[in-house]
Amino acid sequence: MVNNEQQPLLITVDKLRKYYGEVKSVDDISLEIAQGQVLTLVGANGAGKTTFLNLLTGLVRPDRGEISLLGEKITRVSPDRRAKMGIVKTFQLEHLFEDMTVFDNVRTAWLSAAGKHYSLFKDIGDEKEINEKTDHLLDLFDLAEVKYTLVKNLGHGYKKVIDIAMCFAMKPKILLVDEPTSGVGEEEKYRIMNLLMEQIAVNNLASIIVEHDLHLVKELSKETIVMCDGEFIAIGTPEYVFSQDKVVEILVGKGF
Amino acid sequence: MLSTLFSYVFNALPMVSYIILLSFALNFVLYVAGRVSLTFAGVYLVGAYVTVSLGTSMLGNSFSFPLFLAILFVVSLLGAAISIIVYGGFERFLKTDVHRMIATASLLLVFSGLIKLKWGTTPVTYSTPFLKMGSTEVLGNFVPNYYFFMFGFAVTLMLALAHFLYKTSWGLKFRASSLDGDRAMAQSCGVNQNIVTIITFGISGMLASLAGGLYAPIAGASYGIEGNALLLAALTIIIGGVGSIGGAVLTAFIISLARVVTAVEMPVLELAAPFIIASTTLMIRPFGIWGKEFKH
Amino acid sequence: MNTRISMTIPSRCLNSTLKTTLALTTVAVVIPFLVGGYQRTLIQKGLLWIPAIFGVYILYSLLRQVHFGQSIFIGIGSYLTAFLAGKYDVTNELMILLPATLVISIVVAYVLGIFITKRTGFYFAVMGIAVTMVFWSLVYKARAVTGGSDGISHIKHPNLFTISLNDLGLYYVCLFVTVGMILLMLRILNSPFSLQLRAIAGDLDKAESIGIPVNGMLRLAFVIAGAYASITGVLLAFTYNYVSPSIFDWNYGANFVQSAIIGGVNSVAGPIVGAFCFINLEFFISTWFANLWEIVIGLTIATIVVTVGEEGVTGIAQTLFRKLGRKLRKAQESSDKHGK
Repeated sequence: MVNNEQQPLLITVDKLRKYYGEVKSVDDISLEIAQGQVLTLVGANGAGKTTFLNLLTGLVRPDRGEISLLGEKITRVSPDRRAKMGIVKTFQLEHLFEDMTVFDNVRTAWLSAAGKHYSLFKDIGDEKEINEKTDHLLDLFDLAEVKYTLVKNLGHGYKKVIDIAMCFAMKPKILLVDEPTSGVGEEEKYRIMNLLMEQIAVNNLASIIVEHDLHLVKELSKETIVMCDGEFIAIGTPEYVFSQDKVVEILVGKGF
Repeated sequence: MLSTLFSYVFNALPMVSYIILLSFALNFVLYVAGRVSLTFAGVYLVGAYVTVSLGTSMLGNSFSFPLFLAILFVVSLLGAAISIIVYGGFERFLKTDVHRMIATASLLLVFSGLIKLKWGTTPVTYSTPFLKMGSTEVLGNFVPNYYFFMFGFAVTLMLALAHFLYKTSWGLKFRASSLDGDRAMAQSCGVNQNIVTIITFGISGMLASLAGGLYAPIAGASYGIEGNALLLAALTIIIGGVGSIGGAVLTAFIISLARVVTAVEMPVLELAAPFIIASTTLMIRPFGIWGKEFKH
Repeated sequence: MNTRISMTIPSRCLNSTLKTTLALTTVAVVIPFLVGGYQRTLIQKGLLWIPAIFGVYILYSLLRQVHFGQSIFIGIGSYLTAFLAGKYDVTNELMILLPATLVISIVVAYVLGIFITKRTGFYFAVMGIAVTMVFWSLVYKARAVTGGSDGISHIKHPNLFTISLNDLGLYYVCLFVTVGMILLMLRILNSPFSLQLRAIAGDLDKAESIGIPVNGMLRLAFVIAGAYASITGVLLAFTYNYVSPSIFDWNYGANFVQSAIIGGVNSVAGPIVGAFCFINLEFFISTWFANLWEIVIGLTIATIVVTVGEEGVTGIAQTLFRKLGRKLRKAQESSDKHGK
């Protein structure tokens, strides 16, 4: 397994299990992720990828198993606290604050990251630092022109990028990205992925990126996990992983 | 000692019955139709007053059990009709649960106001059935037979409903459209959602008006009882959870016993008891003791 | 465009809101000299209702929650006043009563909030109603302490910094307190807190995933609503010199929701408009068609909700102004064309 030997361990997943009745969504998975390690996660629909990510963020509670962050067990920690601890996830389906502007969406993320939840008496226009950081992040992700547009009036591609930008406001240690390019046109796909990978590298974040587009994965990923029926069946470089018989079987059989 | 214990149970029977019926009126709508609706409390109010009215005018002091049952039957149909009309003519236009809560709560005011116009605020009673049915001595207590009748009636209805939901094919269609299932899927499998919803509201109205009708010989009908009815039904849902028939019955017992016991031992806490139970349940089991976590 | 713009209150609206508040305040200051005592009391009641309705407003417009429980805190404020300035004659000094009530109601709201806000939507609304009934029954049954269904009257006139206030003085205190609370609420609505509340209503999962403590913030909103209502309660007790358990009726709590709906929760002027519409409607109907009140208010609210939802009077006014503005602009454009 390709690993950054010199970087310390960030996340440890130990025999994590989540069954939905008979369906083995996540079946006793163990994994170690180092700081700065970037993984792509591929697999057919229903393989358990989103469930796995949701287990990491706390949106879903496991039936069994432990998750640790920097040595500390976080299996019982609530989603909002885990976000503060550095585990942040984008959403596969659209989950943004639709009736607010792009600026306000990102600004909310910054306010939350700064812990200003109970700040009642300050006028939001006076939060210079927050407003500046918001502008900065919007510039970084090429969102400056649509700053004051309501999110519900923007296209799918924009929304994906806004989602990612908001995650960066949280200063994550590990960024979980759930299908950043789904529903997006060919040209936009590369733009989004490059932007994403660049920011991940610049900030030395660990990351798990769920992707369906295998060409993208082969081109941009250094380390890939293939998931099937709740299990990790192959881990390694894309060349290695896609040459495995069992993986090819699934790719052909279940059809991406 | 034992007879005191049993006295609590017997005294709780009427309340158990009426909570079973009322909470299920609400539960059914929440579970199958997936909507919030407070109309059932208004139907309960109407059921109580109509029963008293029909009973006093038609039967007066003489008592005929079959005629009383006939009155209840009429009341149940009336309840179903009102519920369906209110849904079809008004409720179905409400798009969010927030709107539904506020609008149906306002409808309760209308029900209450209309009743007040006709009957005023003085309570009306019709205790003939209750008195004429006599009482039986059981386990050291003289228990009015009406209590057994009311409880038996409620339980029979619940069993019938359970049979319908779990043992008939129509029941399956209802469950497929419910929170446990998937409305869209059910629709594409040919289950007409409009019919399901209308029948749901009909059943809900029937149960609610029967609750009022059955309880009337014991408690009469008076201004403001719909608020209490609403609250008890809602607390039963909070404690017992949505979608469980057995859970609703057990919760009805829990709440009723709590109230009967506190009414005797610590009267100040009588109305606080169900609230305390509900609060505790929310903290340890937010979805109700027998409730399930539905995906919305 | 500058960064002051937040979708809670756009800055151009804020300025006009402040101007309108100033204008209305001026009117309110002058009005006691133009109308009789009875009308002044009615206006006073309308003013005092505004903070309580704002409590409903903050929970509805920012979180889409229905808060039937403001009567709990009005009751707490009123009964505390009745005890301290009436029955047990401890103090009638406003500068002691107001802060004391604030502290007590914040504590009570914080504790009750643990249960009431545990789940949202239907559960939140119902638990609110349940608590009002619990308070009602406690107050009703503890006759010795609270006077039971007789209530408490003979509340002394309030003192402000030891100066005894007559009715007119009390009116100005109520006005001053109400305006202060409105201005404070405007600031709160434009704060980081409120923006995050809107985010919670916008998308719960996303809000949690960026670290927003949903339950904690819901509780704070609940506490703010309760604090506001309790101040109203204190002043209402002095205004009417009478408190009874009926202040804990859920119907009374529902009045504030109804006022909010009439006024509209999409505009910050909603609670103010709603307060005066409701009070006037209630006065009018109770005087001429007393036994039709429930039917009238029930049908009114039901109709409003089914037609314009939560837009209310202010929403309708906004839509009309926009349409009027468009018509005027079109007329302007075509007259420009013809002119050229």
